[in-house]
Amino acid sequence: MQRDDLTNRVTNQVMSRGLMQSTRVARLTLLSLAGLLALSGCGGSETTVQDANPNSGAWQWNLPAFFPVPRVPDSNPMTFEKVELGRHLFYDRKLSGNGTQACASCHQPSKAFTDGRALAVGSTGEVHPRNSQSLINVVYSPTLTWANPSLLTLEKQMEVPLFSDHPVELGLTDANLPQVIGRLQTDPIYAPLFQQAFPRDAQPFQIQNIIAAIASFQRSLISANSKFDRMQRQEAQLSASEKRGMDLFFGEKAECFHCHGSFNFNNQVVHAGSRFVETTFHNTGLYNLDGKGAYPTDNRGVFELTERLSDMGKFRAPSLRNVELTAPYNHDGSVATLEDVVANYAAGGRLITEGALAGDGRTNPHLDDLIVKIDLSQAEQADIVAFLKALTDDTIATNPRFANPFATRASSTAGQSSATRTP
Amino acid sequence: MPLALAALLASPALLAHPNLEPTAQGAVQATLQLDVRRLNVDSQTSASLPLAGVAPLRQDDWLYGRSGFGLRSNRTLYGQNIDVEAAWAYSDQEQKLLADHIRLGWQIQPQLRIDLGRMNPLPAEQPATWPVADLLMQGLLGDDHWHADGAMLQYGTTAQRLRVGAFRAPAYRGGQGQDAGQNISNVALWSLGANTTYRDVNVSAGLLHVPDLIRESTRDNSDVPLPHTHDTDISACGRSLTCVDGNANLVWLGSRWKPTESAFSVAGYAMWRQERGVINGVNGLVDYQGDLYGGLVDVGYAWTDRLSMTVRAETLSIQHEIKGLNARVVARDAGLLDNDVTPKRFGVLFSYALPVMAQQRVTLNAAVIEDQTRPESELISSIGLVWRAEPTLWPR
Repeated sequence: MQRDDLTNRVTNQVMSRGLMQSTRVARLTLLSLAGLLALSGCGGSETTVQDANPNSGAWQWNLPAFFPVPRVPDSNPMTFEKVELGRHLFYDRKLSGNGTQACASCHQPSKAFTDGRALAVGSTGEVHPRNSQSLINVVYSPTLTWANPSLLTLEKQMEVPLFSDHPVELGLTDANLPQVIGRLQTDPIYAPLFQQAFPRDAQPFQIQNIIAAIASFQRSLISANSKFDRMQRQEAQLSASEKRGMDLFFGEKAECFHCHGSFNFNNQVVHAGSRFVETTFHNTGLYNLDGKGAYPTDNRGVFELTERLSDMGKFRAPSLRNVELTAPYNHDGSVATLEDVVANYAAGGRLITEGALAGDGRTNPHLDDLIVKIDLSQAEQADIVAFLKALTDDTIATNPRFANPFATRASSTAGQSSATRTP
Repeated sequence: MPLALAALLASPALLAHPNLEPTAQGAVQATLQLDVRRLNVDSQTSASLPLAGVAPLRQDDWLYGRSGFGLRSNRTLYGQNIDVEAAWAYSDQEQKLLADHIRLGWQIQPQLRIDLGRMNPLPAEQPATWPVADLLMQGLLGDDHWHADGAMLQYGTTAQRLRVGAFRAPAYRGGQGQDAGQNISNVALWSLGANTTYRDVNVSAGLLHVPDLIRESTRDNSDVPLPHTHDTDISACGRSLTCVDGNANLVWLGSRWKPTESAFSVAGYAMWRQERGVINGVNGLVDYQGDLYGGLVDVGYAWTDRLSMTVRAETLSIQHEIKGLNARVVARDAGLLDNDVTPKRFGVLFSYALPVMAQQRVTLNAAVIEDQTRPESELISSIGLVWRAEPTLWPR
């Protein structure tokens, strides 16, 4: 009996303690609940972003939210001084062997840094096999030129226009290089520019520094102010036709995005955060000279480097930003208008019925799998063209950071052409 | 307020999330439910919340979600008390009938019980269902219901109970079950919960832990189409997809106060979810800390045994901290950058229970909700009908 009383007493105590504990738990939980409720009710929503910016130093990219930070080689970090020197060199004809051309001769701001020609023409008048490419957003290109998978940096690429002898572009040689550098040294503009850009060099007038400065300027040529960009920033609205074109562009019918789908509207993109870089090249069925897929000699794409038949006619998909300004089109400038470009893709390749280049590109055996006939009406093709024109950044030609530094002086004094500066 | 109506207002959901109390010993009970509501709303989908991998919810004119059927049985087998439940419910979000609950419960001892199968993994009370999903569930899951496959051990009585659960992938969106061959736990979600009832107050709390989270973050908050690929070789986080990769924890608290002799009732819920890790994106790999706070309060008033009203206020606070190279672009890719709206909803729900036959309930409801989840607020109005029958099939 006593044992039962004791058991009951212990049980009651335990239950009583349990009840007290549960009451305490309830109070604590209610307090926590009130705290969390207050926290959720009072605290607003917020996204805090801390964006690292390597190799940029004090350089400000001024990128929109949808552009990644560009990759810059450790050996040539961005500085304002180098970019400014590079801008001067880019527009100066002193940098060609015979003093007739500057980089800007083939890369003019008003044409999104192309030249408007079907095929580029070098400083000696030699016609190039390929169309000048835009330099806008070139900092995001993992490979450079139309069809060279091994040309990976702007510094390395620049040796081609400077020193190439087949075809000649700016026409620098070992023989005339001292003379070209001498022209720069005797120009009073350049001494402070070179010293500020390369303060650690006792003798900054070196070809490596010239290349580094121009590469820095090229990296600064970023465009992100098209109507499409402003739409993304909710500052503009696309027209109905542009919107339909955008839906076709990114949709499964036209499928343009497969090769032009990045923020830069191409499929070869590199930036500071890149871990996987795709460097794909495509045969878009422009030619089929022999029925076996041949392209015109000296213009056969990646094949010229690899000599693999599967690389016949493979070229890089260019960025479509500012494509309205970069006519004529394709690697050889053989397509005059955007309407024709879209029509070729809708047909699944180009049919040339007569002449030396006759052939049915649609049946090219090396045609990229992505190039197939698309049942696009004329209205749909017009919508795609309308969307492509919404990728034009009208501020490129007027952006003072991109502009010819000699233009104001030349036009106000000697009445020279403002395109470039003569030696 | 009649018990039926009280249960209707207080239960986490009608068919989708029944409580885990067994039916009467030896009984086989069926559940049939039709839940139809018509929404009058400008937008066919809810606002896209700036949360990784949370899609908008359907807000079509007509919704049928939670309609379905189920069976429950409670038998003694080999001297052991076993109850079995199987329930299928229509999901508005997935637009199909889902096996929502398939569960076997074993009452090991009077206060010890284990449930195995598909069930709600959150071991705490959730808000009553409304015509549109509450913000807490929408923020947590991008869905209006939660079920997962696993086991839950319960100890205690109805008044005071402790619950421990372990669930396999995908118990939580993006929760990963490690390969058992790697000798790592195959559990994608751990849960711990407790509830206690003292006089008129019921309090419950739950903790969830997701040890390994990899969730694709689909950007839905922009009308700019996203490029995509059909190449499955590069359809991976960091290549063509942007994903949150890390772990997640959730604290959930619920409390309900319903005095016996009062027409008023109050229920409050709060949650805090934290996700920690990285965002593995097409444009970079950046550090990520995400916090989601949510709060919901229901105040109910019953005029008569059949007619009642509930006023609801709910809110979310969404906070992201993203650091690293290309953090801004990655945040945008993940749909987390545009985050200047603190979602809120305020609503009132009227319910009227019709007098009908035994083992059936028919409730008419009407709701008006001011939705402030977009930059401009929107009014959602709804009328609906819930018919629920729970016939006992055996013994007759």
